[in-house]
Amino acid sequence: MTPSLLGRVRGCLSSPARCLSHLHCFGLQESGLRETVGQMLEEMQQNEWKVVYCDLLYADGSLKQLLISLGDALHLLRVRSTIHTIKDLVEALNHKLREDSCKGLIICLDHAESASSFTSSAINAFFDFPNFIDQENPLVRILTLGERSWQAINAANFTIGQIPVPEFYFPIMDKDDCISLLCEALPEIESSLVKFVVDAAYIHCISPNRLAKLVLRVHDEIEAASKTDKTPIRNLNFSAAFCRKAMAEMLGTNTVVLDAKKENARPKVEQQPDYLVMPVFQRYLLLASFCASNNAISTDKRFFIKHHGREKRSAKREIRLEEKAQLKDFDPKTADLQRIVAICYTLLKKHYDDGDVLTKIMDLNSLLNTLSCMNLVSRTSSASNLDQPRYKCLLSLDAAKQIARFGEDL
Amino acid sequence: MPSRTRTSTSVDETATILQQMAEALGLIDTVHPHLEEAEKKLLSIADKFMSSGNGASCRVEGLSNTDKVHLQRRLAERCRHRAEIVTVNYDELFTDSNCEERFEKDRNHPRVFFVFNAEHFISSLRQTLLYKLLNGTMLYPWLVVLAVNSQDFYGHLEKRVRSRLSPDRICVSPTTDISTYLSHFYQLLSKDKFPEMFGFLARCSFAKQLNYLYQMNSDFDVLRRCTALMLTELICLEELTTERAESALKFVIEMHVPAVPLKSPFFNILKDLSLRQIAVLMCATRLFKQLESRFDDKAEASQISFRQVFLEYKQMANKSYKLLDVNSDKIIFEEIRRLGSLGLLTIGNKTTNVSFQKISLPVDVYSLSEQFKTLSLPAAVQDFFAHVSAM
Repeated sequence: MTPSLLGRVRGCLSSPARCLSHLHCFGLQESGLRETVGQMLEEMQQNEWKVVYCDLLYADGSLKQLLISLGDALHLLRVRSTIHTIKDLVEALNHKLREDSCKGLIICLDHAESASSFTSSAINAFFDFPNFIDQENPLVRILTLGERSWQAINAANFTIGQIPVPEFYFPIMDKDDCISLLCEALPEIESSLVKFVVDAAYIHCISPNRLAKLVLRVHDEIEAASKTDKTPIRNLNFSAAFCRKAMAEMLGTNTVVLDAKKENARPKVEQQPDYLVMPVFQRYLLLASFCASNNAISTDKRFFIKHHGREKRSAKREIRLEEKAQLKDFDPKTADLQRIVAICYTLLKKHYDDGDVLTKIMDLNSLLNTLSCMNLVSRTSSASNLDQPRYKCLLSLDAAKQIARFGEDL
Repeated sequence: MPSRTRTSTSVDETATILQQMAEALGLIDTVHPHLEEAEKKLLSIADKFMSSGNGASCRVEGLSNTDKVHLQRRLAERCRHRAEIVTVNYDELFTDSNCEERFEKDRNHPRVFFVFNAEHFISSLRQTLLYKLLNGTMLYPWLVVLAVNSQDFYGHLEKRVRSRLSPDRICVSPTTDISTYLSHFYQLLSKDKFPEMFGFLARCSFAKQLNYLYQMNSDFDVLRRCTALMLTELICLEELTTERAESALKFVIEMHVPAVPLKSPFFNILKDLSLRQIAVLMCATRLFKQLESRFDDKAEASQISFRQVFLEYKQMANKSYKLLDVNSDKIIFEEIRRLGSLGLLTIGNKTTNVSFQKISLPVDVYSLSEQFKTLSLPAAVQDFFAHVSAM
């Protein structure tokens, strides 16, 4: 962090001008904004400033709730029985600040984005309240922290106040700073390994905390592998395999995990998604619901019946169909339970010789309930509609394909 | 034109100037040159009210943050010994059920009501409160001052309320000529009290920047904030030069009124994103551009799904930059959600299936594409998007 930026924020906070009643600091979570500002506020606290922390997110759009939590944080309930209005807050604060000997009060409000959940008039009145504090009392500052600039919060929602707020932007660390920080924080790990891992992963992830976890994991795996194999190979090619594997698992990168035996790495244990570890019937039912949700009823005959009659096909018709398909809304539609069951039976009969027997022993209700609990299928009709319940499949095409292919490996 | 030379000050002089700046900063809130006329009018109404003992009313019009609190304080100072001061904030109405009852007590005792943000009372239900207050001015020794932000307040009042409100109107309007504006600036610096500091600042050429600020926003409070921030900046500096002072004022003015909208802090965040996040955003932007050219109807072109962005991203990764490839669509969906939380994308919540959730851009596609050009991206990625945008 550049010292001039922090110096600037500190200068504005400690400035005697009361007109700078509201300041905003913003930057991504990864920039360490909260930690840096927190540290600065702690130093100011030691320097006879009073600092209280509150969160706009927890107030959930209620001014009363915000005032109550502020009253709690400032211990104002000793001065006044209730803090429900801005007038209460101003009066209690005037009383308290007269008694306290501090240079000023800083109210630090986190999650500034949540200001949009308040009504415009309420939040305007709140940010206006430091103007009502008596001139003889120490000054009151509101410092908001957030990921988005105040202008962006204003632009996206409504106008909070008519005058722009002084705002300070905290940039993230660049790659070199990140490497030096991790080298300092992890002295037991070689700097070349840290540099190697950060170089590879920085395009996917900029968070120093996640990068530190990645470096630690790669380091641990290398240590474990060299202990078991007793080969003191420490070159970067050796690390690359572990780095690729860790990145694939932690950051979701699509790098081929090298063969375990060849690279002296531990055997690869792939974790299967939940929906793959389920009974065969359930998988069929899920696929049937996917087919029913994503295809029109008119196509069922063509897809699931062997001799479905002839269809007129011409180039014109094909083009028209394609155009239609492009304009089509790809959202899944709701389907009747009856249709889902019919498709499921057809699929089962197609793949199993004893499909007829299987369809009789299936407990459809419990299977559908389980799928519904797993958030793979949702019931769109009311619970009282037992006659013709309707369901919608929430599975993506990729997942459906994965499930359909899963049986082939067995 | 003669070339400008850098003017620096000696150590002792700097210390004195900095000391004076800190003192000027402390006094900045006590300067209200824009309110002098309004204050005079208001106090004359108050004097008349106190001498006659008859009820009176007036309205103070002006944008929010025009220091109406200062007027209220001056009024309270003047009337404190002879009347009770009651300040009404509109938020009390929602939370304090006894608010109206408070007005009913001790009716015959002289009272001064100062109602902030009175325009919030103009909805038909709440006009009753205004009516009660203004009717009180006819019957009891009450002075009611309505502070309003909007100019059309009077026109929205019901006849029964309007007829009881006196036509006395105090207007706090922004400065209308640049010379007055500049004189306000010098008054804020307490020109007469701090000659050394003023001598230093007089050597700086602030006219251009102040003229710009005046044209963009001539509100006095903005000027006050800019001056306070400039002085704060200068106090933080180790070395004091006229150039530094000028750039400090330029910096704080741009903080309040960005010179170019594209330089606004909204786009700062782009530089902080990881390459993967930028690529996702670029894919979305590219899709929006394509849709716009395909559909004449803008409404149809305003939304795309998560899945479309993922497919676009996969295509980009496979064709141009294999290093950015991911092993699951979930990873890209997470990045889209993150961009949504940063306000760079707007995510609809109508669909429960993540793949088909719709997203839209809260900013103009073309200004966002312009911003991408300022970022340093790998050549392969840039080429991919340059090729596509030409399509």
